[in-house]
Amino acid sequence: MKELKTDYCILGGGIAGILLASQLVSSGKKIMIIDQGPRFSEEDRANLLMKSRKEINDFADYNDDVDPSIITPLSSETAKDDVIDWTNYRLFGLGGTALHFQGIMMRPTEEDMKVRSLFGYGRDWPISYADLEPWLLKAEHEIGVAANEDNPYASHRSGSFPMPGHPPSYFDSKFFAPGLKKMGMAGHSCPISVNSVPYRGRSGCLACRACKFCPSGARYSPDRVQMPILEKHDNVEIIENLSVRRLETNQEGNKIVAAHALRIQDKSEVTILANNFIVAMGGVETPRMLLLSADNHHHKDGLGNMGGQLGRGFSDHLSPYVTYDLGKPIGNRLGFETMTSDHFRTNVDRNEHPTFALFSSPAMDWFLIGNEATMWSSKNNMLSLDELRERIPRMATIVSYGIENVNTGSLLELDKDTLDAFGDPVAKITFKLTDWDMQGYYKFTEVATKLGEAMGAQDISEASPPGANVGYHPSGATAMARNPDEGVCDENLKVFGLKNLHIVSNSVFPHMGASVPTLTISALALRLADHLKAI
Amino acid sequence: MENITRRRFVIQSYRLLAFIPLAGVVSCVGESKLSAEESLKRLIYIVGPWTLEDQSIAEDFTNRFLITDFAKEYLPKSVDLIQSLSKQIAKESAEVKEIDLGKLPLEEQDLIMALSKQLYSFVEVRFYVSNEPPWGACQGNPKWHTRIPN
Repeated sequence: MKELKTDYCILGGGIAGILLASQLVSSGKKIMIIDQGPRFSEEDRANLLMKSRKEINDFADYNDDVDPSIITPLSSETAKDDVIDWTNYRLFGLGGTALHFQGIMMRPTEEDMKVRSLFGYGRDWPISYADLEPWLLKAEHEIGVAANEDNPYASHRSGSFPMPGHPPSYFDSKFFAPGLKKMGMAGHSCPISVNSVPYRGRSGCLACRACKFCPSGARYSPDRVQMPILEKHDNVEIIENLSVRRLETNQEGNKIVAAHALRIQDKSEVTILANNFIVAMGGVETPRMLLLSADNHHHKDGLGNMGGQLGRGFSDHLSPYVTYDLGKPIGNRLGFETMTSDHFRTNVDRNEHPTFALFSSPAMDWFLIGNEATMWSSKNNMLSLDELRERIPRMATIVSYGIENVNTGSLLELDKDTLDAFGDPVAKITFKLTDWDMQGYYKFTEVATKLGEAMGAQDISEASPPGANVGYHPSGATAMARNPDEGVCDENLKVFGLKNLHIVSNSVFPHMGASVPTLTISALALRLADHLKAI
Repeated sequence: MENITRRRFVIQSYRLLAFIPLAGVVSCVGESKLSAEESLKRLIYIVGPWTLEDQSIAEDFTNRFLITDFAKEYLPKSVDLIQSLSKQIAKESAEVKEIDLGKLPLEEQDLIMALSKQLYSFVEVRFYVSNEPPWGACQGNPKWHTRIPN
């Protein structure tokens, strides 16, 4: 068994862990980042792009060749009326899910952080938007977010975006914005971590549309931006392909003394001793690590679980979409959105239905528009191939990347009947929807249909089912709170009852609202670094 | 092609069974000489969007398609399907602008629809139809998405 020592042991080399390390490095203390996955090279990215072409696989991805029992240990309750089969779209590897994320960098609204007080549902954050705002701004600059300050629905910001937004597409200008305007809504710049201009040594976007593998480096990924800097520091050690299986506490049960890990290749044991441990393993693996670290003494139900809150409040976004044939060619695309509308994030009665944002793009890559185009081109038992080919350049999609929900009764726990490649129980997700949650889905469907009509669509599809595209934004299972009866960690992300254990991921969100969570995760990581350096 | 866009050419052009004369294909089919792979190739040429002058693009795509798992769904039925289609097309027209599904057995109707949905969902095929360069080919123009479409 090998033993390693460090000051800060960061479990998880995703956006949270790497941003955290990037800020801790100036402390001069020893930092270790451990990830279960590999470090991907630029050559790997190029090969994935070629593989995608060779195999005609639009969904080729970084973890394709890895044993699923290692990378996505998960089970999900069988779908019933109010339960949705939950899928996990996260990635293992240094860079984490940000390796393949779309790069949308939305902020929460002020109201999102106090929904219980204002509207009577969900959980309030123990910090306010004003507390978080400076860190959101700092995150936008560390990451490089392109956007214009034209969002009439946004909460206060104390500074500018680091670079201008991408100009709206032909589709946005000629279809989306006018359609929104007809409905009394405004379209605005979509904040995205794809450089609109060269930024901190990285290229501006070259419009190749292969954003997942971004050959130019214009799209942010932490393994390309902060990691190369970290690798130059003597006080930083980055370890790949090492799977942490359990955290061990001292006899008093108030401090973590070691992390026990196994190497992926040969399952040889490694023990890490550290002064501080930070779990930054994402919305599923972070709570699972606390559950797997249960002992027979002080933490029988998992770490930080004295109030029975570990795993409770698990949440995600519904992301339904509607496809249109707009009757006219809609133009070229960049591979990401240039316009969005936050109208339904603020101009809603939140007692009636949840909030959501509207995104639109000319037939985004991952939507199987051939389905609708073929169906619409088939009438009276005749499939018109000419019509079908005419339709394709006219197809567009409206999607909500996040319908807010509360999921009363949703839960993340261990599934003792299903073990991963290391013999440990996988995470079991029960993702339930309340009637109120479903009202958000119905409202989106209604709005998307009307928007299609306002844009002049000649054909409008039905919305995808509520369970489609769920699994991108797992959150809430180790919530921040003022006390252990309400959550798992305090406002500084320290796990209740443990002196030297902190967590940072979307699992700490008491409530996610309708915003894509990455910017908030990043802001929390920067804020945590500041806190850790001060203690 | 000089004065028209490729997309308009697609609309105007004939789409034949593969890139060999229709009569030849029909003849081959009639003599049951086509393999399952060759039949599937011809199905993809029929349903897909490629113009005659883009034969090499279509062949490249089809060869890749044949070695993917996608092909498994269609290969067992491809010979029967191409024979059914050839009869229909040979009888009515050399131009494959539409397929009369009513003249096909139900199972073959479903297969044609599935193939069409599949093909036109591929980014590569959609970009070809929309006259966009392939995925990963940098345009070097950060405003290219603002252009008025052809």
